[in-house]
Amino acid sequence: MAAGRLAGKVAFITGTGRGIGRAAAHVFAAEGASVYGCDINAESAAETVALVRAAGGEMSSSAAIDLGDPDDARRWIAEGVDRYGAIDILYNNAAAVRMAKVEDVTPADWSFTLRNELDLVMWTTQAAWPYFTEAGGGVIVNTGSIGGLRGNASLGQSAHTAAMAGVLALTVQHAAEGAHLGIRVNAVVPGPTDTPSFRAVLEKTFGDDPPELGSDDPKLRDHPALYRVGHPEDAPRCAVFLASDDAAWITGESIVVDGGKNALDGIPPAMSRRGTTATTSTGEAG
Amino acid sequence: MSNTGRLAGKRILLTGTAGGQGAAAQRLFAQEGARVRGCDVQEGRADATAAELRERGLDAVGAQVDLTDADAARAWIEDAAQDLGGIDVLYNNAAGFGFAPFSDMSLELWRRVIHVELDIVFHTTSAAWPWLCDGGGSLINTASYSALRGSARLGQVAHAAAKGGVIGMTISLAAEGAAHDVRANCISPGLVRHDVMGYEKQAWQLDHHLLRRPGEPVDVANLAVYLASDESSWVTGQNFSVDGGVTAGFRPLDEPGA
Repeated sequence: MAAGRLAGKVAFITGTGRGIGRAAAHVFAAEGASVYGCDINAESAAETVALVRAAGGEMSSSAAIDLGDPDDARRWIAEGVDRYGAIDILYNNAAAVRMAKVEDVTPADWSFTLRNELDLVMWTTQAAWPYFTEAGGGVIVNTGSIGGLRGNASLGQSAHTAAMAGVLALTVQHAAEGAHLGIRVNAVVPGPTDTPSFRAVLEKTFGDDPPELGSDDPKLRDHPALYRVGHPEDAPRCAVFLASDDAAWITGESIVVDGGKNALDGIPPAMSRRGTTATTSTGEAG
Repeated sequence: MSNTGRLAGKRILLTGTAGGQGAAAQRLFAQEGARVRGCDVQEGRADATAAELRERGLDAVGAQVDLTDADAARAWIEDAAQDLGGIDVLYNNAAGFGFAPFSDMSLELWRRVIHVELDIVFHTTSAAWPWLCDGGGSLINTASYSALRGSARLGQVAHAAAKGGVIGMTISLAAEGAAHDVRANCISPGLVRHDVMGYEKQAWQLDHHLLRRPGEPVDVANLAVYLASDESSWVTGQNFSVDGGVTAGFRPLDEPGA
């Protein structure tokens, strides 16, 4: 059996075709987990399987699956349990989103985003729940977003924020319902991360000449959120901790993995136009 | 004197009434029918604020008190409580300040800030506590958005620690006070237009506020009226941000006027 912090564990990860999900497959497999993935795009999911195996990891993936459909979600979970004989970890990473300013949100965009960011977390969780219950426990790691915590005037993200706040609410509710069953439920909340879907948002924002992330391109100066974006591995590394027995006494928590963006007042020091020097001043008690 | 206001008959002690949020609160409290005793360290200023209200037939008094002196704070609380026959509300609004980049922050400055921002809250609250516990009451403290968000430019390490302390104190006092019907809540303002620190020098902080204007003292005082009144009788142990959205969201720097 492989060594590692997740040795012997079977980890079900959704959305492993690219971005953070692909990185999660790598990181979990490297920690000794057997990874069972899926994606709505079977081709990219198969690519991830090949990459993880080439790196010495154990992974397989299902056929193309649409987790927003409860039947598909149930089928995906059941097939995985058939294949591996168990499910120890469910990492709800998959999501698809449509961004639009308030005045432009259509009912179709709204439903699409809620279905593909929030509904699917409910359906995979519900499908895995009886297996966890029967086994005497299990671990769920959800994926939130800073958008579920704070507004952002630069982005049209109404549906996204509603979905992500919903995911954080499911995290505490499922933690509450699962505690006596040995089921822990936590969430990782990534900040802006360098993924294909994030680059698509960049292209939409900057047209066909997007700045190189992390560069000193002046275009980035007006977008402090992009000054230092996350690497795709940043969120999964936190998920490994939450999924491992190191986190055995942690449940119902949402952990922000964002380089400090949410903790700061909004402007990284190097991005401030008016200098960064704090000055000394004192005054008496009024 | 009004007997019909939202604070009719309330006996309120309020610190830091020379101007800004404290003066605005004393005016609103008195207009809502409260009997308000203010104080300030600056000579004559608290009395000037109160005198103006008395001219309008309102029940307000202002005293000069240095709250960093625990005995002076206690004497003021006792005098005011005896004068009013009790205390229904203590609003800890007063604070000094001290800012410096952490690399330049001396132990002396650190202690000074903790003293003028956190210790003074202890001085007044410990003296007023038996009065509040006698029949119940409302304690209102003042923290800051600095306790909730880091800032690379403000030099606020000690300030944030003091105000974080105020929030922690508030929650714990809510717990200890509940059995005596004492409620404790906290207000965390964003950048409020105020003369003590020189508002213009601080205006760059508006870059971070969703609402582009600075807060006016009355914006904070309006919440204080609610927390002082019986309208909030089921509210305790909470911290309220009155901050133009600075803790709620990110404002892009590329907006016109940013």
